[in-house]
Amino acid sequence: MMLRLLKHLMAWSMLITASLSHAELTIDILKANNNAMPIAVVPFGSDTATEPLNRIISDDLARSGLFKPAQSIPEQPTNSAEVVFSVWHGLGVDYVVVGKVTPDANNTLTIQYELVSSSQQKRVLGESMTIPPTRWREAAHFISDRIFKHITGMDGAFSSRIAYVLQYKREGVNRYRLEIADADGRQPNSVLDSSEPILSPSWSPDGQKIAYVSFESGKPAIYIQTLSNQQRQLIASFKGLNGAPSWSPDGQKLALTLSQDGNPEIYLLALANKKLTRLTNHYAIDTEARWFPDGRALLFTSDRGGSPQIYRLDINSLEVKRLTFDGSFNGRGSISADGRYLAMVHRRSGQNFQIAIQDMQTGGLSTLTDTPLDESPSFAPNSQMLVYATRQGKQGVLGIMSLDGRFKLQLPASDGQVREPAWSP
Amino acid sequence: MSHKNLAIALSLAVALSATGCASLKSKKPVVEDNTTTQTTPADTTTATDPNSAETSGLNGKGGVNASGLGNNGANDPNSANGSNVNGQNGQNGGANGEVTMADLLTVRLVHFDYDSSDLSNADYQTLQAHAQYLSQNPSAKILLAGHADERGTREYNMALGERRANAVQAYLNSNGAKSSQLDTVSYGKEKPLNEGNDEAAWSENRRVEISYKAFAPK
Repeated sequence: MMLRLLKHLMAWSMLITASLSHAELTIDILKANNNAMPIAVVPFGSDTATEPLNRIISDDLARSGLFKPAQSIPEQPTNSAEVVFSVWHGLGVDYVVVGKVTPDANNTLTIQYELVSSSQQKRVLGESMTIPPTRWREAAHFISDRIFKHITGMDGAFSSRIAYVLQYKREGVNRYRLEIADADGRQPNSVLDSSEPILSPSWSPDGQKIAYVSFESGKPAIYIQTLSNQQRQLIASFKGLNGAPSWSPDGQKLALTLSQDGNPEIYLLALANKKLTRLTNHYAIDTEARWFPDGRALLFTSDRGGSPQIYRLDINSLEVKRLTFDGSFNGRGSISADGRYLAMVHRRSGQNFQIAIQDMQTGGLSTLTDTPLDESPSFAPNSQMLVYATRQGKQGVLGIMSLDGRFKLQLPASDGQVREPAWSP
Repeated sequence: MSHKNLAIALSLAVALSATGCASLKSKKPVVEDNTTTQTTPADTTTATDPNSAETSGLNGKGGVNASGLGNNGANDPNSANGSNVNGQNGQNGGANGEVTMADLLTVRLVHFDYDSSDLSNADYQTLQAHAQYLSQNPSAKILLAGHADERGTREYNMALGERRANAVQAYLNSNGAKSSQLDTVSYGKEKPLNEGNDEAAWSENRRVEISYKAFAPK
């Protein structure tokens, strides 16, 4: 785990230092959760940053939809001993986060933070960390994850990232850029910039590589790019379609769509030896394969039943079973990491294309959005949120919402069309 | 994700950031415009009504069979003579209800219904003209680019665009064009002609674009 985390951070250090100043995504909260838990994140002592830690942490917690950070801060303690419990308890704020920043001799910073419960009248969590100033936001997201986990018992997703495609105009001509930003839309980094379309980004399970479809040669091809050194590998450029790559949970294979045999079919590509195995054989369209968390089955979109619907494909037996029955179009399915929900683009006959989730146990379907052309749902690694592509007027933006649809926010780009989000592991 | 050792990891990152800076210089892949400019799709308003062609007096059904076109100078559609003759007819075509080979060859778009790759009678006429031109000009080559409207998922639309391009390819093939003259690609919904979000825009975007890569008819 330590090693994995360290690798993760190494990848980050290069990404972050390679950062160009791109248009950042900013956040609008569309729909609030009335049951959100009040919490106060007090300004950290000696925090003079333009983006103070308490603001990043508050925004993180608010973005989860489960917390409502206090607007008024009646006192400014910087450690748990200074907190007057009754002041916070009286405001109905149970949890209070306090901390301070200490600059060190060798141009590093030490950040201490504590989580205090005013009802329990004690400190419930506290840690200290030393960071280079470049890792300021990562440290804040780390603290948010720790607080979130302590209070909710669930993993936070604040340290995760989101890959997406930005279509923008340069001198009146469309260009396409694959970018990766923090889960709060900040610190966007360009992975690939092209005059031809890019789509379907898929993360490797270790978060170090990304597979995508690029039309840069004039035809669709699948590439794998290592994020730490920008090294690229051409993975598939067969005749016809080369689409919808999806990384297996063990990182050894890609599921993909090829039409080299004349018709779109689902294949597996073993990354070690490039061996291809065809999994479907049907005259209909078969595409958009995604893995079940156990790695034993895929789901995919097919119009073999007359309309596009989502099917499950057992990799060993090749047995195919239809999963969706409600609606005239169900596609781009994706299973949450905990296996509980199937997210999809869903259309009732004649209606909008909306994001819906189906409970894998009961089969019950809930539509979560009410905008006309929503697409590309992708689960947060903690299975608590979904990111998806939607429209705000004519502009393509990203939406993030809780699985009950009670909390929604948008990450609008200041310019260009944003789409094809993929939440990192 | 385990964060147990993040404090240590973050501290270590101080050292790592130095090496990170060095590799920073490695260039981020940038793909410059390296595809050739596509033939601009021709005006879609050119008359392709099969009924008007029927009454045009060109030989045989649809007015675009081999003999009829041959008589109209289609042996060399690139020649100024051939296209002038036909071009004049074409310009008067609206009034006369006459559709010529040259008119049909200027049509470079085939349209489709929602989630469909079925060709219409009007398309058959256009495509017969292109098929014939291709069979008479073995050096001519075309790219068939399939497209979809913005509704539905991106990869499904990619497959749908291919299905449309393949439908056009199969028709041209069965009408005399050689496979080696026909190339296909699908752009799905990635390259709309009309960026609107209504039925008019959608029907314009559900298309196959025919672009001549060599020996285009003039």
